[in-house]
Amino acid sequence: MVRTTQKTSWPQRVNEYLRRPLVPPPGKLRRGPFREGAFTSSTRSQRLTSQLGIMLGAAFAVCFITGLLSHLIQHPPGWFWWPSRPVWLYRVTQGTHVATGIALIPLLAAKLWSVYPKLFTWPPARNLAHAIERASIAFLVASALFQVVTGVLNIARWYTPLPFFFTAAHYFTAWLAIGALLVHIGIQLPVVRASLSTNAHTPAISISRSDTPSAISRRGLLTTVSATAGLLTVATLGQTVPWLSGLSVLAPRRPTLGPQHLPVNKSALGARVTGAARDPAYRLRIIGPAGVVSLSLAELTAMPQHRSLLPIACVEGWSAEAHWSGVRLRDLVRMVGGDDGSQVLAESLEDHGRYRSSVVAPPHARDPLTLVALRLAGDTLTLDHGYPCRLIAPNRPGVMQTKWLAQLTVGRP
Amino acid sequence: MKTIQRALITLGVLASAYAVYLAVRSPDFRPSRQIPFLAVALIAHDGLLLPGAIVLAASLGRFIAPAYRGTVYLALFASLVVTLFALPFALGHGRRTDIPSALPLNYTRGLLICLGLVWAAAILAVTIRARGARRHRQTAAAPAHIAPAEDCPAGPENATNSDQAER
Repeated sequence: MVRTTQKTSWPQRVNEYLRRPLVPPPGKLRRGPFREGAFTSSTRSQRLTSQLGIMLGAAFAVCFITGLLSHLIQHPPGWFWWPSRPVWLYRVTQGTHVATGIALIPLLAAKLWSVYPKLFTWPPARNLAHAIERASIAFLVASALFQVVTGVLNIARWYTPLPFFFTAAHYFTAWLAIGALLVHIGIQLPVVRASLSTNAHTPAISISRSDTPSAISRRGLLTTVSATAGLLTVATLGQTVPWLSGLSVLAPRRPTLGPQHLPVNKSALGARVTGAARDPAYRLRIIGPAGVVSLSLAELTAMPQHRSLLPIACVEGWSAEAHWSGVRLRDLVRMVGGDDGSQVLAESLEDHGRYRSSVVAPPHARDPLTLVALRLAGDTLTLDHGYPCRLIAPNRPGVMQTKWLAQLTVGRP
Repeated sequence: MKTIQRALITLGVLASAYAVYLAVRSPDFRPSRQIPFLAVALIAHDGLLLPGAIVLAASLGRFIAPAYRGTVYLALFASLVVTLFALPFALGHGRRTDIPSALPLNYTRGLLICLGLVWAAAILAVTIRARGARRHRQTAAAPAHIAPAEDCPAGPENATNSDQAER
C-alpha cells in the first residue's frame, strides 16, 4: 500500500496556526462580569444587535461619504471636480453629515449596550484568529466613539479636550472607523443573515444567558432609539433648516442670528485684521497674466454691481442664505488677462492661519454668481462679515469663502 | 457569501491601512495625544459610563413597580443620551465674547425641555398601558349576559345542546 501525504498550502497552514487553541486563563479569574449569567436582560439578542448594526452601518456610511466629500472639496486632488451648481448642494451634504452624526448617537449607545456582554467573553481569546477579531472590534468601538465625541465637541466649539487638530484627526479616524466596520461586517455577515432571516415565531438567539423575561421589549428599545434620534434631530436641525429653527432648542446656531442677520464663525478681532481692514489706504491687489491691478474700495464700488442669493454653509453643519452684492469675480479675472479656464487664489488680510487663503477653481471662478462682495442684505459688510470685501461663491464650504480679501492671483490650475 | 466576506474584510483592512498611511504622513498627526484619546474614549465608555448606567438602572429598578420598569429604563436611556449630547453646549466653554452668534441659545433650558419631552412621553406610555390593562381586567371580570325571563322562558324546549350535554 502506498501512502500519499498531501501538502497543505500556505493559506491552510496560516489558518491552522491562527485557529490553534490558546491556553485559557485559570477558571478562578472568571469573576464579576465574566461569570456565566452575569448579564440578565433577555432583550439582548442577535436579532436586536443585527438590526441596530444595520441602522448604525448605514448612518456611518452616510457620514463617511459626506465627510469625505467635504474633505475633497477643501483639499482637492488633481482628479477631483466639484461643480458650482446647484448652489445649495454642499449645504445639503454637510448638513446631512452633521445631522446624521448626531442622530446616530442613540443608535451607537443602544448597539454598545446590546453587545456589552461580549466584552466579557470567556475565554477572552480562544485562538489567535479570535484575538485578532476582538482587537478589530476594539478599534471599531474606539474609532466610532472618537468620531462622535470629537464631532460633538467641534460643533460645540469646545477644543480644550481635543489636544490635536480636530479636522485632520477626524479625517484619519473616519478611515479607521470605516475600515474596522467593513472588517466587522465581513466577519459577522453569516450571523446577521441568520438572525434576520429567523422566523418571527422562532425565539431569538440570546446573547445574555438568562431565562428571566426582560422589562424592556425589543420593539420598545428600537422605538425609543428611533424617537431619541428624532428628538436630537429636531432639536438641532434648525441650524440649517430655517423653518425648524424655533423648535431647535439645542441648535449651535440660529440661521438669522448674527450681524446683518447672518451668523459668523470668525470675527475680525479674532483674525486680528481690524486695523488693516479699516485702513483708508486699503487696496485689493489683483495679479494676472496681463499684469497687476490695485483697486480701492471706492473703485470696486464704482464697478458694475451684481446681486447673488447664496448660502454660507459651514463645515460645522449650520447654513444660512443671504443676499450679497458686489463685483463679479470673473470681471476681475478678465481685467488682468484671465479667462473662463482660470483659477483664482484668494488671500486674506490675515497674517497667518490655515484658512487665510483658498483656491477658487474654474467652475466657481467663472460662475456669474461668484462675487467679491461689498454688501450684505443691502448694507455695507460689517467687519465680522469680511469688510472691506469678501469672496462669496456658490456650493462651497464656508471656510473657503475668504473674508477680508487682500489679494487675488489669477492663473492656470 | 465567502467571496463577499473576503472582499469586505480585504477592503476594511486596506481602508484601515490607508488611515495609518494618512496619519503618519500628516504634519498634524499627534500620536502621543490622539492614540491615548482613542483609548480613553473606549475605556471611559466600556469601563465607566456603560457599567455605571447599568448599575444605576438596576438600583432604581428595585423602587419601580414591574409594570412600569421597562418604560422608566427606556426613558432613562433617552435622558442619558440627550444629556451627554447637550452637556458641552450647556457648559458653554465654546462661547466667545467676540462671536455672540456662535452658541447663542440657553442650552440648559433646551436640555430641560428635551428631558421634559422624554418623561412626558414616558408618562403617556405608562398611562395608556395602565388604561389598557384596566379595561382588560374589567372585560375579564364582567359576568356573562343573562337574558330577561320573558325573552327566554326556562323549559326543556329552550334547553341548549350544551345544557343537555351537562345533564
